Amino acid sequence: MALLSVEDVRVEFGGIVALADLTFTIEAGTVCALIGPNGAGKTTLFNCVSRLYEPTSGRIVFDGVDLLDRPAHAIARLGIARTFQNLALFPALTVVENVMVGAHSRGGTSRARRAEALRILERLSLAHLAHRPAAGLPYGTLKRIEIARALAASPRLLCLDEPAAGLTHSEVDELARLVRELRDELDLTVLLVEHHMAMVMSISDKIVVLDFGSKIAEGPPAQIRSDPRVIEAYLGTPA
Amino acid sequence: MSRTGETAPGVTARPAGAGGAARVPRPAGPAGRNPAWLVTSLVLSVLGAYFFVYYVPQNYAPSRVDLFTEALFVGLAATGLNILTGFNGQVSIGHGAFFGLGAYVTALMMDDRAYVEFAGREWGLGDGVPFLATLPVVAVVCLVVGALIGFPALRVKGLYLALVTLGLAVLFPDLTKRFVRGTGGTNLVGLRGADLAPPDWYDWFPDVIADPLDDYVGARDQWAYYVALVLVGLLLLAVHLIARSRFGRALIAVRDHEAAAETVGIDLARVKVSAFALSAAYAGLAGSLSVLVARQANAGRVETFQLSIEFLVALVVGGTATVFGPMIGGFLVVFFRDWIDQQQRLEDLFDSSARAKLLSPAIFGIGLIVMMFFLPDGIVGGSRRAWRRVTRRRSHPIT
Ligand SMILES: Nc1ncnc2c1ncn2[C@@H]1O[C@H](COP(=O)(O)OP(=O)(O)OP(=O)(O)O)[C@@H](O)[C@H]1O
Ligand SMILES: [Mg+2]
Repeated sequence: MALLSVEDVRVEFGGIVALADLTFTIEAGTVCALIGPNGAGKTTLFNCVSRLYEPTSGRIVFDGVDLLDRPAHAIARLGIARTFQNLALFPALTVVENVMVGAHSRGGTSRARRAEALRILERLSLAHLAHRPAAGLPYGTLKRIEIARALAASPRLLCLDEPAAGLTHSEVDELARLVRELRDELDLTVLLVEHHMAMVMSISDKIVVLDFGSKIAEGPPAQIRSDPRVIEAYLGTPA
Repeated sequence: MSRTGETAPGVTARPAGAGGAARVPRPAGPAGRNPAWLVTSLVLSVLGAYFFVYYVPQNYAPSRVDLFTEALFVGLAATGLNILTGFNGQVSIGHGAFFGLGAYVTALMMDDRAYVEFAGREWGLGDGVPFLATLPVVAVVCLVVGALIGFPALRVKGLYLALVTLGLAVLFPDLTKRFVRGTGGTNLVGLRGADLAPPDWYDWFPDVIADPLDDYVGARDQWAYYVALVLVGLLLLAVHLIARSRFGRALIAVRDHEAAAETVGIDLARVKVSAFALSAAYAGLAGSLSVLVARQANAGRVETFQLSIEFLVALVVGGTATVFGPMIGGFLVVFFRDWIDQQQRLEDLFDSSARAKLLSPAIFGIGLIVMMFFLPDGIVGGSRRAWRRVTRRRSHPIT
């Protein structure tokens, strides 16, 4: 059964249709990539799942729960965590505190929360930075801290918005490996938005392609790679 | 040798060899933990405790002890404002209103003549209630009123929120004039010496504290000071605990990035309204303390506004989002103001024109600007930076 199902979701900003009745599903335990040119509506979908944007119509069902019935702060508790395309850490807090805030929706004592946060940082090779303020750390590190913060919620669905942006080649390879390992270790389902095609092709089970808010293709990497409509959307010329 | 807090990344991650145990990363502050620092802070705390607990109340004249009490309650109000503005990022320039509310509730409960006229009836709020017994009432009233104002404040942000809270400071004096019937029917609730006298059990304390040579009413200043000191101590401890709690981190998260905070499961409305309520309670309790020094509750438009600004100045000068910053700021503001007033009096001996009267706020303002220029992150922030610079230099000896 699908863990997340997006049904006819429509989002409009003034005259702009950011999402035009988008429908797709993500199976539990898989990595699903959402790709498309700039402005296609990928981040907008994330914001709908996070309840930061209100769709004009449609449904988003997560494990049988209609997300649109819930307020934004109730989403984490259901088991959905995300990272942001533009970093959204809490600069005044230390790295470990950032991760502890990530576990806000979970119970437990402060001590247990801290121990858990340190364990996650250890896993992402960030332990040595635990007590540094988040402000002022290098970009690639901050992106990893955001992943750590998202993991602190013990999510079932992890949504990553362009996690590879701004990373070096070797960092991207490492990230791809990390995402796959985390999926296996933590039994995660991953929704990935990414422009880095090599990474998308290597780790996705399924790819959904958006253009101007509409789905133009959906399928496994091999099929997407040779889809003429996808090539056209990306290159701007008919294949 | 490098300090534990300053070890380079990677060093701590290596497997511990001989003596490696000393390199286990510790959750130390920016200064780390070392003997020199421990001894220094121990000596400083003992000296500080001696000065504040014994020296000030036992050696200074009542007017000077009152000045210390005033510094404590201005600092306390700034500490409350810090919860809202420093930790949670909601700017208020209306906290003089909550301060006034606390002062009025305390004064009305203690005084047997003043009352509130509301809905065609007279509400006495109590006759001769002991000061300490008014504090829980003030805390609850200000929590509730703070929350009630926090809800509509959810809709506005930044400069607009500042303006809305400014409205509070402007409105409050008018409300007291409309509803409070104090001395001579005005909105001033004056208290008599006997109302302000320390309770009987205060005499049980050792003579060094409850000075037997002081007459009954004369001990008022010491009693007020000790009450302020204990209350401030407890409420500072509370801020310290809040700052490292789940709620404290949520306050900062909401301030730093609302959308991200909401996404990790923080209920923005709940956190913001709680911050407002808590902050109002601190300011209200500060107002209660002011009654012991001013011997009255009174709200003028100018004074309420001035107080609101003073709290903000104390907060910013001392250091936002720190535990002790606003208290230090409170002392600076009150003693600086007192110092200027003294210069003013000297000036007045020679020239009592209106021009001289303008001097005080002007100096105050200029001093502030200079201060902000050199210490943009306040006293506490500035000294933290200085400390870090000193320790860093020492940990990398030139070879
Ligand atoms: N808050 C908003 N207000 C107005 N328009 C918006 C808003 N958010 C997104 N849009 C518009 O919706 C469309 C989709 O934007 P979105 O950010 O979802 O694109 P994207 O696929 O994430 O692009 P990118 O790859 O550049 O991140 C764009 O035209 C964008 O300008
Ligand atoms: Mg985007």
